[in-house]
Amino acid sequence: MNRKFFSKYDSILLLVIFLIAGVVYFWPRFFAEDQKTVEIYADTALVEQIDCSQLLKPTEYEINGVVIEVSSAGARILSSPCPDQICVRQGELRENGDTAVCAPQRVVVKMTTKEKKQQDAIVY
Amino acid sequence: MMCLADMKQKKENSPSVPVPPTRERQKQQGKNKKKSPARFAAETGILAALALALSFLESLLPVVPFLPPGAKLGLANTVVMFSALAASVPQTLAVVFIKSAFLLFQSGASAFFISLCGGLLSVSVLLILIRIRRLSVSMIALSVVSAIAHNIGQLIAASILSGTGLWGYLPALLFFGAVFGVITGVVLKVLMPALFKLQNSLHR
Repeated sequence: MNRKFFSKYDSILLLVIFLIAGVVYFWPRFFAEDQKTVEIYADTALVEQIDCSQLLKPTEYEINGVVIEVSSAGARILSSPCPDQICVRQGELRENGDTAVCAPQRVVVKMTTKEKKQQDAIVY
Repeated sequence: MMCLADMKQKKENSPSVPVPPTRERQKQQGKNKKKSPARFAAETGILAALALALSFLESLLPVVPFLPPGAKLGLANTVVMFSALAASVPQTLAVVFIKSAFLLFQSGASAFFISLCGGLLSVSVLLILIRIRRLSVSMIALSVVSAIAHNIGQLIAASILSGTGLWGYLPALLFFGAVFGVITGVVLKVLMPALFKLQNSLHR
């Protein structure tokens, strides 16, 4: 095989890939809105949508055996019955776009943001 | 497709040197008819076994703390790359399929589907890039692009299965695909002579 091992274009390729990765990483953080929302999907359907700012203390949800803790700062998967525990090791989701997936239990926890509703007036 | 041993032979025997008649006949036969089913099975079996052994070896590696969970080196990809470079297309597809089918028994149907999507996207990108002779894509680039294609294929499969776009994973997948792609490319470079020896030993 007279294929080259490394060509000068490869460094350009790697640079472009890192650049794209950087853009994709910072894009949702840059365009995040104020209101943090945690979305929980199970078996391809959206089952919970929790507004983080409404939470006074951390709340636990259990879906398909996966225990998810949602607090005002973010969300994390506390435990899961799956063997690989990838979702648990994902840690806390804080920023817009952070995702934790438990493929065996078919549960997805996704951090999204929404625009804060502007209230015209608050009457007490 | 021509076997690699034959291609090597062809190179060594420049037009001035007559090719041994037996080799010549073999080559003609090799061109005209497909590999015998036994050789196909033997080669594919060895390659698939290698891929499985490498992915097992990889699972023994300790978890590195700063890596995102689930990130893997993808050493088995070296075998897939080798078969894409040196073996026939059906063989390469068979290796990819066996590698994923093993997961079916190990960790279930969803893992199988995700792995198969990644493997198929990766291998189609590989085979296309290898066929474009004018580009003469380097080994490192092949490895990096196939690793990233593998990751994106898996991401698409996982998105289909979970019902939402999981694009939050994309940056990490791109970044580590590139880093680990370079590593597996180097590993393949090191493994290449041994793999060739293995394949040539089947031609005796």
